[in-house]
Amino acid sequence: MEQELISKKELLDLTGISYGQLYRWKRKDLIPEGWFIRKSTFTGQETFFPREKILSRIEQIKQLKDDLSLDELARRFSPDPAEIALCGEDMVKRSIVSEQAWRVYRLEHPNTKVCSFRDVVFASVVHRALASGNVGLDEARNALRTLEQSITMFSDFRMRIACVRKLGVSVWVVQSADGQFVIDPDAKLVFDADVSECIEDVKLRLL
Amino acid sequence: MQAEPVKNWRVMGSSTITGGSYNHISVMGEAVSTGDMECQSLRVMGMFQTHANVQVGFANIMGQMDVGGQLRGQRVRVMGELTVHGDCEVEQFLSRGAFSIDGLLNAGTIDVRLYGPCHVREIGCGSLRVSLKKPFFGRMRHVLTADVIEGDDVMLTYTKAHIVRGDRIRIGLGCDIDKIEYKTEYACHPRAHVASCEQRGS
Repeated sequence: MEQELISKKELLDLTGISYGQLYRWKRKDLIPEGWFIRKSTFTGQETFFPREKILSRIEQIKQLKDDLSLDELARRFSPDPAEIALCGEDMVKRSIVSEQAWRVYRLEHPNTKVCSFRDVVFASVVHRALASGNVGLDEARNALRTLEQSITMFSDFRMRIACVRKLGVSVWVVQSADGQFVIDPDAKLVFDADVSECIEDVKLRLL
Repeated sequence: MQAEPVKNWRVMGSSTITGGSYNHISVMGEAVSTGDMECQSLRVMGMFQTHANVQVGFANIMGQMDVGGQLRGQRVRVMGELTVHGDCEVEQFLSRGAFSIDGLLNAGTIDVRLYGPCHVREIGCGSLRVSLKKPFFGRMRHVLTADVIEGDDVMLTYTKAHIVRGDRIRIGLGCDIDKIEYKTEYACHPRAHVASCEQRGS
């Protein structure tokens, strides 16, 4: 996947922030190190950013920075787990999961009342999968199982989950966040989600 | 919340550690740390070498310090010599000595007085001020060399750079700069050498 890039100069012109602010936010970890992409151009080395991600991030920071301290913002944007516990009704109320997704979650874990952060994130991934409209109930349940098994590999949540279907048989794939894979041309990529994006979304809804 | 680290580490002779979390570190002799390290305050009078990343609250470097990875923290004061092979990200950077940073020097305020040769690949900051040390003996003049300098308030003297970008830029004596891009204010000493200059946006 070739993502569209934006140069630092263009970014500053577009968003109206200054160099000082940009570097300050970087120091506070509001903008991840990995988004600073160095490339050589005819004027020497230049820094580029992934266009969509950085623009939406800066828009969010600008909106929220009046109400929250930068440290608090950093905590919200970081994919590190937060210390929370939620019950199912709360999650539905805050629209982290839909009724349907919660029911799927309960099928897998009938006795769960209170969810830890990890469970909340997984439930929200299930919700996303169902909301995409391409994934069936049984498949969503499988996704949950796959996630729970793979979490030992990716303990820091920096992973993606994808669903590939061929001839009606679907397979879930969990991979590291920047990993690439190529699928059989006859198969179809049904669903694809970045778990750290889900975490960001969950955190935004929680706070 | 993590518990406050209470360990202190004092080196008077020579010592090696594998890293860890400390309250205060004081190096009078020679010390080497091989792993990631974190401390509230650091004082180096001798020589301190780390092979990995360092996170500090306040670092006062009067001797020599060599960081293999990244240096991050609140305040860094260099009175001796600092070498960082990765990036250096601090809120306040004050130098009365010499430093060499292979990555990005990212700080809120940077105040440099040129007591020795200073090299940085890239500077990104809120405000940057470079001034010459008061002459004492002879005419030895040191310069700051950088590839790219980006900041809101930039005041330079005796600086050699490829590109300087910023909001308000003042170029002083002894500068040699290939390209300047400024936004609101620009002033240049008549004896400074600036190859090209343009105003962008306003």
